[in-house]
Amino acid sequence: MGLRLVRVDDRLIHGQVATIWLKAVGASRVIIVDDRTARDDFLREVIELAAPAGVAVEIHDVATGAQRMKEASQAAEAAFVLMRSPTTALQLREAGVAFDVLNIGGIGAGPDRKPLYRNISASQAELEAMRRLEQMGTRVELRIVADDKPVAFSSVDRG
Amino acid sequence: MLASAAMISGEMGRVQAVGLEPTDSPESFAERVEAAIDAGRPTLVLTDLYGGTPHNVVCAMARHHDVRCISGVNLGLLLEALTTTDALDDALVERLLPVARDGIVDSTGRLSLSRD
Repeated sequence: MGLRLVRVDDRLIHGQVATIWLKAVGASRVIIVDDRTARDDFLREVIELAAPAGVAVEIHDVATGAQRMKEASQAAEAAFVLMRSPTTALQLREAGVAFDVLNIGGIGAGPDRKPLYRNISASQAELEAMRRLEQMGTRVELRIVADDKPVAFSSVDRG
Repeated sequence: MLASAAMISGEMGRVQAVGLEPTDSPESFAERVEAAIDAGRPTLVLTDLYGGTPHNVVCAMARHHDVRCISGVNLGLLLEALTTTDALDDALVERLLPVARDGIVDSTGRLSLSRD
């Protein structure tokens, strides 16, 4: 089973979105890789509170997250991996975690970000991280909800 | 929902709606919520989905701001919250929760007459 979906969503677990994706990919474990949340007990609790019932949630920093993803990719249980930014995905890839597809689900607007596709924005560093991931053999796909058709990052990247 | 509440209760006190837009990041949404709350005064925040982004953002704000968040807002809860003169404390929140729950009723199921 292993890693069923590796997804960038800056809202991490939020409401029904998590429920729908977990069902769509058939996973019952969520691995969140986010340095800020991992090191902040209060934020951890908020995220755990938001998780649908019956779903196991792990929150790790990048170093531990990379280790856990390697283990989870060999495990019988299907896991769903969430992070806030493609830059985290690149750190994980560079730490030796193999994943064929990176799903870009949600990156909101921000001071350094420009619109990329529909409601997804990206900063220069995030664009470069996605290009680098593609060079390393990870296909980067934009797909906000499970019902959407995936759109290749390379088809919307004007850089 | 605020317009509906105004239709029923007329003049409303300090109340604001903050919507989550599709292009929002949690940070940009949090900025608008922070702008809407009254610093130094307790603020009641009513959100729709438990576990949704507005709920998560407001819960995270509770560390640094005097906010209370109730999720599962409906018009009955909003009206009760708008018309109370009680201070925002645990006791008020305990009184508001059943108001919201009691507003959810299988209404036609309660009709005793059968259809023609």
